[in-house]
Amino acid sequence: MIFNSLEYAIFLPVVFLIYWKILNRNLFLQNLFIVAVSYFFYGWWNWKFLILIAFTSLCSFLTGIIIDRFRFRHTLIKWIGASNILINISILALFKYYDFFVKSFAEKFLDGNTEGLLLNIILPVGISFYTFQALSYGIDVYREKIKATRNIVEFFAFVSFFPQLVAGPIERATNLLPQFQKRRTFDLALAQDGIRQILWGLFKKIAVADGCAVVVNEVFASYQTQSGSSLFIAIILFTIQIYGDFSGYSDIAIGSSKLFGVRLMRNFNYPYFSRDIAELWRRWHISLTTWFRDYVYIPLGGSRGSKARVIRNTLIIFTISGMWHGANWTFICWGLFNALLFIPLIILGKNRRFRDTVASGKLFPSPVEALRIIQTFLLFALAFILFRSPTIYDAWNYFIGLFHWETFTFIYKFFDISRANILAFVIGFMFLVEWLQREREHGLSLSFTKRKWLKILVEVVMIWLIFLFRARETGEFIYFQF
Amino acid sequence: MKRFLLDILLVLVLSFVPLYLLQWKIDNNAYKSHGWPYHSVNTAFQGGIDAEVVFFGSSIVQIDMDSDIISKALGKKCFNMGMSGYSFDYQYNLIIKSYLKRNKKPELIVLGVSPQAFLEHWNPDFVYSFLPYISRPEFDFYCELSKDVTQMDRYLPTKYSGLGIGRIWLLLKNRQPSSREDCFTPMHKDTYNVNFPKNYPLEKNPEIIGYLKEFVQNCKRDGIQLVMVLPPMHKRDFYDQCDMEGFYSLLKKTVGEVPLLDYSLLFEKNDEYFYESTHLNSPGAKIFSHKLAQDILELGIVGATDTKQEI
Repeated sequence: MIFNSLEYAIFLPVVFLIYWKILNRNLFLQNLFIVAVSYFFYGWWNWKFLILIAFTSLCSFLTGIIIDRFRFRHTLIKWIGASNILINISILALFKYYDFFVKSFAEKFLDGNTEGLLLNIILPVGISFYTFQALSYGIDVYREKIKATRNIVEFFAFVSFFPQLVAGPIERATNLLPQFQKRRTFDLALAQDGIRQILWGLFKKIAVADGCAVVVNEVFASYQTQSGSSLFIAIILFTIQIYGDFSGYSDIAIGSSKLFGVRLMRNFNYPYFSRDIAELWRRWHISLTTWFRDYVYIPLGGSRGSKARVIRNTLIIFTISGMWHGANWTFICWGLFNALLFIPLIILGKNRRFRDTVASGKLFPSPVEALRIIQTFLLFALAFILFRSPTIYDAWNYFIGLFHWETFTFIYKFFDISRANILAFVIGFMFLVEWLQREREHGLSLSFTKRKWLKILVEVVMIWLIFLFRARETGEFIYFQF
Repeated sequence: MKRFLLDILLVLVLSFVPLYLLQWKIDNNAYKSHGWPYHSVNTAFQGGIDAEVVFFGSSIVQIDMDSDIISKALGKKCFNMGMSGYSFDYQYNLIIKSYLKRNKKPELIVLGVSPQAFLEHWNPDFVYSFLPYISRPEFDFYCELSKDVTQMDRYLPTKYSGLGIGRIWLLLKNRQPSSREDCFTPMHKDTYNVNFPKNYPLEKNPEIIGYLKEFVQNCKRDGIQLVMVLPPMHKRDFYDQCDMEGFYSLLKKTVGEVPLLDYSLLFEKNDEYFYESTHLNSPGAKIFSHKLAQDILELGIVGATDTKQEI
C-alpha cells in the first residue's frame, strides 16, 4: 500500500477511527492493533515477506532480553549482540546484495557466466529500513542506552509501525519505543498538524516529484540523443524530484504518526538551503545519516584523531551509505563522490561551519549565502547523475554529454510549455513555502498562529493545489526500492 | 476528537464542492466545444454527422488532410476525425468505433497510417481529448491499458489537472483553439528527434494487428469502402529512420486487398512543406490534399458527384 493511493486514503481514516474510538482506553489493545494494521499494510504488497519482518523483530527482541538478563557476562552478551547483527545483516545481504556480488565476481573471474549462481529473489520493500531500526535497538540495549522491553507486542509495534515501516524515518528505540510504552491520548493540535504535514507531503510527491519525473524519465531514457541543456535541466529536475519524493514521503509518514499520537524523528531539514555539502548532509535523510554516525562513524573513531583518520572514516561512511541505497556500483560511486565533496571541508576544518539556519530571522539571504546555496545544490545535483544512471558507463556518458557544445543552447522538446509553466510554478511554490518556513518543522507548520480560519484556509488551498497541479502519472516512492 | 472530525469534514466540503463545480463547468464546456480537440470527440460521442467520406487516423490525418479541399474536389461531404495519438488500438477502440456507432455510415473511410500505428504508445496527452467522457463504460478499456488514467481519476474532481493551466483556462473560457490554426506555425528548424529503432517491433503487437484486421472486415461487412493513406514524411528525419520495408510488408499481410496510397516520399526532404518530421505545414497540406483528392477520383475509389470542382 502506498501513501498516494486510494487504498491508503481509505485505510488511514478507518484505522484512525477504530484506534481512537474503540481502543482508546487500553494500551495493550492499542499496540496490538498497531501491529495488526501494520502487518496488513505491509502484507498488502506481499504477505509472504511478513515472516521476514516478524523474524527480524523476534531476533532483536530476544537479543535485548538476553543482553539485559546477562548484563554482567560481558563475553556472552558481546556474542549475542554480534550474532543478532550478523543474522540481520546476513538477511539484508542475501536479499539485497547477493546477486550483485555474484555478478561482479563472475564478471571479473568467470567471464560473466552466472549460470546457476544467481538467486533472482525479489527485494522485500523497506528491508533496509526496518533491519536498521531493529539493529539499533539491540545495539542501544547493549550500550545501556535503553532498557530491554519484555513486552513483545510493544516491540513489534516499534519495528513495524506502518507509517515508517517501508521507507523510514529509521527510528531509534530511545525515541519510539517509550511512546509505545504509555497509553496515547488524542492530541487535537498534534493531529491537526499531522493532517497539514500529510498535505504538504502529498503536494511534494504528487505535484512536484511526479511532475519532474515525466521529464527526468524521458531524458534519462534517451540521454544519448539529448542536448547538454536538456541533460542539465533533467539532472536539476531529478535533484528536485528525489527531494520532493523522499521528503514528501517522510512528511506523510510523520504526519500519519501524529494522527496516532506518535512523534517520529525529523528526516529532512530543508537541505537545499544549505551553504555547503557538510550542512546539506546534516539536513538530508537525517535518520540514516545519524544512524551511520552513531553506529559506524563514532565506533570507528569519529572525528577524533588525525585528519587522515577522519578522512578515512568519512570515506567509509559515504561508501557504506552509497551501498545501503542499492546493490549497484553507481550507488557506491555516488557515495564516494559525495565523500570527495565533503573531504575538502574536513581538510580545511570547515565542515562544521554552518550549524544554524541560513539567514535566520531575515527574509532574504545575503548574496554570498545565496551563491553558496546555489553552488551546494549544483554540486549535489552533479552527484545524482551517478544515483539515477543504471550503470557507471551511462553516468559517465551523461556527464560528458552535459558539456556538449549544445549545452548553452536551449533546446527544449520534452513537453509543452503549459506543462513547463506548471512545473515551474509547483517547484517555485515548494521552495518559496519552505524558505519562509525554514525555521519550523515542515512547510505547513502553523505553530505561529491560533487563528482557526487561517488553518482551515491553508488546508483547503493545499487540497486545491494538490488536485489542480497533480501530475498525470503518479508512481511509487523512489526510496521504496531501497 | 469530535472537533477534529468536524474540522476535517468542513475542510473536505470547502475543498471538494468548488472542485466538483469546476469539474462540472469544464465538462460542460468541453461537451459543447467546437474547438480542438473536442470537435472530433464530441462528434464521435454525440453523433449527428452525415459525412460521405470520413478521415480517420492520428494527428497526421488531422493536420495533413484538409477536408474542405477534398470535399470540394470530390463533391462529397467530408469529415476529418484525425486525432492525436497514433497507435491503432487507441484510434480504433476509442474513436472509430464510437463514430461508427453514433453517426451515419460513410461511403468511404480514408485511414491515415504511419509506421507508428502498430507501436504500443499511450501518450498522456491523448487522455485530454476524452476527459468529458471518461466515466463512460467505453473507457474501461482505456483505463485498463493506459497509465495516464486510473480508475480513481475517473471519479475524482479535476481530472484535467496535470494537463496545463493554459488548456484548463481555455476550457473554462470555452475558447478551444482551432486545430489548423493551432498547428500551422512556420516551419521549425528543429525536427523531432524520433530515433526509431530499425526493424521496430511490428510483430510484437498482434493485438493491434488484430484490431486492424477486424476493422477491415467490419468495413467490408457494412459496405464501406476503405482506403489506406500513407501521408508524406520527411525522408531524412523520419522515413530513413524507420524500417519501411517491414512496415509495407506487415501492412500488406494484414489488410490484403485494401488500396494503399503511398505519399510518404511526396515531398522527400523538402523542408518547405514540413512543420516537422511527420507533419506538414499549411502549404504542404494544401498540395497533399489536392493530390489525394485527385488520386481518389482517378483511381475510381469513389465516384465524384456533379458538384465536383476543378482541382
